[in-house]
Amino acid sequence: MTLTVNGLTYARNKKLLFNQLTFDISAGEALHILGPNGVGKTSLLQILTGLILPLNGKMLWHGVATSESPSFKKNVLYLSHRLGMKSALTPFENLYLFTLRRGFEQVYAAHLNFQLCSRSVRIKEIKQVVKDNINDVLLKLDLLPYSKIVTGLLSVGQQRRLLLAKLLLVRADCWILDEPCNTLDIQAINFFLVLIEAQLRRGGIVIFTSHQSFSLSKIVIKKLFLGETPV
Amino acid sequence: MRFSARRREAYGHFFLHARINLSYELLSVCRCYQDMLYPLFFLTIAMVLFPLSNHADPSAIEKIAAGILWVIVLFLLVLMLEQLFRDDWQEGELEQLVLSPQGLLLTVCIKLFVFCLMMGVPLTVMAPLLGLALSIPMMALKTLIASLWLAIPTLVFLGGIARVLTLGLRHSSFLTALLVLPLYIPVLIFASSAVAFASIGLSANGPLAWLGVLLLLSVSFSPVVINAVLRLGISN
Repeated sequence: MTLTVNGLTYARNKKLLFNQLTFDISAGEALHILGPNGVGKTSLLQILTGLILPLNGKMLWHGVATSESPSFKKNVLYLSHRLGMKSALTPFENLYLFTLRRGFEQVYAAHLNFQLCSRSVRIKEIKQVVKDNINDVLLKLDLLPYSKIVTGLLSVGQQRRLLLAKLLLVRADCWILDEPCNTLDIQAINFFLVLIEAQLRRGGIVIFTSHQSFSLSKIVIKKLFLGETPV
Repeated sequence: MRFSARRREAYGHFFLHARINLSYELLSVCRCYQDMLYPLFFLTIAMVLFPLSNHADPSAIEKIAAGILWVIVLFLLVLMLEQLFRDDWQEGELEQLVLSPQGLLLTVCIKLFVFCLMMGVPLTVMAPLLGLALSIPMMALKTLIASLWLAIPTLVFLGGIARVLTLGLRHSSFLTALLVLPLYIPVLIFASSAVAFASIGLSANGPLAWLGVLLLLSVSFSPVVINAVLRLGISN
């Protein structure tokens, strides 16, 4: 499992943000993108997900262009600096909708032994599993007391913490995270680092931007500087 | 045999998705019910202004009542269009949808459908009152409601295209209005003529049938266009 980026070029407002950017990340590696504000970190992440098109360059997932690879689409999980959920729904409802949209297949896979019972029973069973799963995740994130409050009323920090729930709920091989540690408290940041470690250990890829630097004892984080390279 | 079982499973998935998406979409609209009420108040006030401003000849309003009603409904809809996809875009839900492995088409259709309900239900409830304010005869009420239900989905689905094209632009509401109002002219003509025919006791089947044609065309083609526009890029 590799993500190869070859000769990526992108310009915004007639200013060249990056020119002929080339790097690759293989299974179990993390990439930390650093650089001052406005240097194009978010744009780079959006290009990697396929939300915006680069001026030039290729991105390959297992050697197949990411735009044409169904497996990439299934495996990419992008958390932007925005909420990415409905603020009028509660955290529980949002996560339920999120799991549904990612596909219940993952849950299906774990419950193949239900093949024998009727379809409606199986769906009921799966729904229950998903619901229990969401409650577990909310408990881990200390958000269970807030699971019935509309997401828009949560504090900014709690909303960011809720985003981490997405990482726990579905299995995706390529995480693309835009400023995941913004407004998180120390406890949540530590939790986030544990998540990254688990993801790398199971052979996933993590690409993230952050202004903080992390030191993790067991894993190596590659660094990519955009803009002026620090001395 | 195995294949057909798989296929049945896929259909089952489709309905499960549609049902859950629809229920949560409706839930989030109901939680923000104020967004629905303000335009309605605007509509009521706008309608009442016409009789109030015309003291000299009350029968003058009667003659152009259908036209007035439909022009105001059109403006109301253009005002409301600004809300379509706005929250989804600002909260970043749209980009998540574009990235999700499931089809975007179904969710877009459901969002548009919910918006139609959000416009259509209050307007239907208000229709008798509005008809009374503009002295549209009671016998035209049924045609008025039918024209509302046939025209609103057309307007919403067409407006959706303009809305996704202008997402993220400044002054997008004015641009949306400029883009969609010319497209709304056929709907305005048929809808107001249907109401006008019915209020003088003629059959309104012709214009209503044309509204149906426009409805089918816009509902079947515009989600595809919206889907394509969203996939082209919804970056900020």
